[in-house]
Amino acid sequence: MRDEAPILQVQDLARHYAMRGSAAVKAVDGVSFDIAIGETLALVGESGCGKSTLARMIMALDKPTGGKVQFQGTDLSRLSARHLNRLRRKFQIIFQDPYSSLNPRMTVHETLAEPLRLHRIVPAEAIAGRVAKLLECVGLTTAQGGRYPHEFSGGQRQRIGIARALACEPQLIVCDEPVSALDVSVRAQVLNLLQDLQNQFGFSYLFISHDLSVVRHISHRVAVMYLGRLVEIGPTENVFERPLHPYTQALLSAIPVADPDVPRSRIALRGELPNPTAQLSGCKFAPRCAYADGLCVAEVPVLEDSGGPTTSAVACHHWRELAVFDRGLKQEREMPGYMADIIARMSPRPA
Amino acid sequence: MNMVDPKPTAAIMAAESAAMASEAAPAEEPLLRVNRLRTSIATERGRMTVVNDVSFEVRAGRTLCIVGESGCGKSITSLSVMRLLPKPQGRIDAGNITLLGRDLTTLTEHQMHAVRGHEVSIVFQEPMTALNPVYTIGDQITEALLAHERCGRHEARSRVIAALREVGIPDPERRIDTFPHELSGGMRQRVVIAMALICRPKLLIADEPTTALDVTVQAQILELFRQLRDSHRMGLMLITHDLGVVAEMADDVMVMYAGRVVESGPVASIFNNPQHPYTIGLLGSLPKITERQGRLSIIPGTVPNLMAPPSGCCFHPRCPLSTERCVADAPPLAVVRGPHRSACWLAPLD
Repeated sequence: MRDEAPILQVQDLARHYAMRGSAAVKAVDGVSFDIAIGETLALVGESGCGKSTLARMIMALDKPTGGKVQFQGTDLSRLSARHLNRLRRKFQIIFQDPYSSLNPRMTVHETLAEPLRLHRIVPAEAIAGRVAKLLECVGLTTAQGGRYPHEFSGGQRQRIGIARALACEPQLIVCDEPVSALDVSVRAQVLNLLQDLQNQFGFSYLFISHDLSVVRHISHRVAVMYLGRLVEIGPTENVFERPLHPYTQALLSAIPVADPDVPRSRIALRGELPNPTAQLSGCKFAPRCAYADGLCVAEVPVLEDSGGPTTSAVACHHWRELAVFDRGLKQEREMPGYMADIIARMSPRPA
Repeated sequence: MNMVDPKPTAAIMAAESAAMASEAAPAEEPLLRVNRLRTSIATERGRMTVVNDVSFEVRAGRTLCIVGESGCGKSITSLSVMRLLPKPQGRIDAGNITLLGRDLTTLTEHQMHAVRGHEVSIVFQEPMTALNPVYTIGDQITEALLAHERCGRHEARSRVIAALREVGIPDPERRIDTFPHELSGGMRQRVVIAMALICRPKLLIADEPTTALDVTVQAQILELFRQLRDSHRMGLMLITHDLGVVAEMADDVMVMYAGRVVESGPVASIFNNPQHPYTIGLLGSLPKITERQGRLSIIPGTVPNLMAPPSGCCFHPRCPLSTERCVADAPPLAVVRGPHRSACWLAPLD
């Protein structure tokens, strides 16, 4: 999939908010990455790191103050409103809370028919058939199409949100915390659905999440964001098994692992996320970093390719000198046979 | 944890006393003993039993984690203990809640005022709703302190500052005069914890205390809970849906499904040797942090409607092992091995 041109290219993207009486808030500050066709790129980071602002700019819901977003080679900020609206069907978004993003007065059928009509995806007489097909795709029945959002459970509502995104036959879907509001067993169903749909239709995902075990499961590559900048980006295995940036290491060490026998080797971070208006020269992570020195405060580190067996890119002056971080996750034991057997009987593989 | 069995039989009682004798269990009374609690909520369509025949204990210096998915009754269990059920819909229909030797179900609302915050405190998921936006955090913690203890203004202020320092709030002398909106989510949750702990309750109930927080902040708050539990021998009842948090924090685990306890026991045996198909399904549906799997395992179906619960075992419609007996009769929570109990006719499953 690497041979083809990327579906999305984000170049030096910035969103600064002017503040009265203080310096601008740099919500997103010089972020670059691209997403290949059929690829899932996860964007991780804690609240306030700018991931939602970034998503809004990619969805052309907010204008960048610097840099550009190119979708299939087209710079979104240069498009006229009419052209942009025509292009919008190709990039869709799924939100965290499916209930607040569905119109409570519209039946599911109406919700799904609207984008089909708006973008003239199918002729009017074919709409009902297409809606039925969309419902089937996400595991709902045609009869359920006549119901209203409040009649569904959280997991089912998220399926409706997914079906609505699918209606436009998109090539990129931005998933903004799509499973954070769901229970464990329902979460697994929705994650499987997202993966099945990707295999079936071949679109790309930008998957925004703070849940690192979900990210590990679903993504091909991971980008880690801290205070408006990318600190590390690379293939999922590399980032999880050999995180290079001190922030990525701290983040991974903080995940509670569902195994009481895994050793707890936690890297405690100093302090908190600084006030967004604070003017930080150099590396934004320096005030909380155990390895920071004069260079880190003076100079902004740029993302550089780590080379060698790990092909991550990392923005840290000292990544070469840091000890190899090992979360100690590799010693996972085999699951007892009776458990594996019951689990297999619960979720038979689809034919 | 020694559960009181819903349907004790001679064999189970014997097994239990044998287990008790062989364990180096502390002989002291548990802080909290909940015995066959049943709680219902009135809805438009009639009364719904949301906690059914639930029994458990919490001991000093120990952590009990209650796990389960939305609607399993874990929060209503904690609200029942606090006697904070929604009024007038919520009602405790049966059972006892014995805290420090006193049955809370028999206390008047006035008597409960002296218990809450003093003997048992609760911390909820969303710190902003637990704080009043128009008072400084210092005023609010002071109010919690003065509700139970007499002390002068200066002493109160210095105790509040000490409490803020204890929960890891930097620069407490200055922060004491700030308003909730001036603090981050993690700091607000620390303030709520400081407020809950100012009178040194013996038992702390924390209902999804870190669900709204980022992972690095969650790690700090969990570490704080651990320290407080160990330094004050506080009992901790932690309600969560996150099995990672359970593995990290729990001494004992209780798994709830559709208002009932389906499995309980020490954390290591619950994770390594689970004895209820629901627990096994939950563990199976977790994405692994260690590897990228193809597909996640799932639990088929959805949680039952508590207005019309299924016959027999409430998990039988989703269970791959279900038999005729499971459809007909509800299995009691019975000893599998030592302190490990399961409400499954087919246990032991291994």
